[in-house]
Amino acid sequence: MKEEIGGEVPVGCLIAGPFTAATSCYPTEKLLRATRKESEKVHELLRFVTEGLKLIYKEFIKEGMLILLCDPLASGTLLHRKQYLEFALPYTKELMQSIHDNKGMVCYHICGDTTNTVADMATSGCDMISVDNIVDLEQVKNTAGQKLPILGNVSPIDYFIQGTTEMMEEAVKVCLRKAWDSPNGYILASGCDLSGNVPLENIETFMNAARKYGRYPLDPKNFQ
Amino acid sequence: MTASKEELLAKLSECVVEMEDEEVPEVAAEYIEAGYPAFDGIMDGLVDGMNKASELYDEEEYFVTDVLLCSDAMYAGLDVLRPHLPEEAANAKKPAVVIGVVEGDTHDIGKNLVKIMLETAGFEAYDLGRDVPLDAFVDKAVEVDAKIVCMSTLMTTTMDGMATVINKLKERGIRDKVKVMVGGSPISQKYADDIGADRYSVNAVEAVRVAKELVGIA
Repeated sequence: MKEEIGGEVPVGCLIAGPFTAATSCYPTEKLLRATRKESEKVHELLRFVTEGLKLIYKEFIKEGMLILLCDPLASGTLLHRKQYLEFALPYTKELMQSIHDNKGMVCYHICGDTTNTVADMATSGCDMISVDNIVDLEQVKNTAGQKLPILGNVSPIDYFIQGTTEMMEEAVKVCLRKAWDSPNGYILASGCDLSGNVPLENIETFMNAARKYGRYPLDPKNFQ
Repeated sequence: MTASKEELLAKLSECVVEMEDEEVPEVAAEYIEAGYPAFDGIMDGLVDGMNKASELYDEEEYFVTDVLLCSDAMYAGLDVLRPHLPEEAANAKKPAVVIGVVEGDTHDIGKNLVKIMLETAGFEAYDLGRDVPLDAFVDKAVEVDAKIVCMSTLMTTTMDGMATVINKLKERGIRDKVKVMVGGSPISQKYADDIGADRYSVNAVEAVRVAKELVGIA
């Protein structure tokens, strides 16, 4: 893929973050219970996966890939902030450091409701933060956005899959209204992964709307 | 001196809320030995505690881990109390719900929470698990004379399986005998309407409210 289109667009790879990687080794519900009842064992598992992830990220960086560190199981939809701070963030910080030591660049994404942890995510050492549609982009601008570039967050379901082209255009404008002046930069993005069910017209509308309303220099009058 | 019934009920409830799954069986055993009725121990002790845990989850004080641990305590208590239920109560017909995660999807935490809460609320839950072949929803609904079929998915690629199940229920001639509830991150009331499901619920707590409405119980 890098050979085919790497001259036109950045190419990246979505790779699991530490907590999600841990759940691929040990069933999620058991892992959640273990965070309360056997926390030392959870830390052992997280240490193990973190060391493995460092090796994986390194290989992709060597190929010139941007890393999208995606940790959905660390989402506020599942975890209390205390659990995120104890079991996800420390290992994520290490991984961000490792990516940078290997001269890589990384976008940090957690699916679902990260309202309570997005400010903490910004301390991880990542290069930019991506949020899902359920999080208020303005709140992200006012917290994480004060430190880092932010990405988001047109709903994959409501707009990409189920939306009309008019709804999609409006959704793009709403995002621009909220985040166009984010101090460290803003990148328009879908809130999360897009599946094969997305009509191509909606993706085209999204891209065209970005070019139309987001043309530099940004003028808020364009997207009121 | 034997503790009063109210004291032990309160203790059972508290054990569930505080996730004391090791203490619960002891309290439940003490309750039975004191001669108090198992049914009340379940409803006013364990279920009371689980309901409090649900409220805390709704208020975002408790998260998924907490609800799972509370349910462990509740089930530990049920294991002790259930065998002491009088026959009529033990065999009482509870409304049957068939529940599962649709074929192709293995994300089942949400479905498991719904199942726990439905059981707490007095439904008989037939849990088909995850990655459930679509026919299995219909077959089981027929087999157990289900009042509700409850489907969950996290992924957009498997959502349409829900529409297929609804069509299969129609083909089998039982669509008007069961209510269909759907849930999961990509789902919405709009989607539920589009595919002909009866109701959508956003989380496990709401699922119980919806399920009770659908079968007409308080």
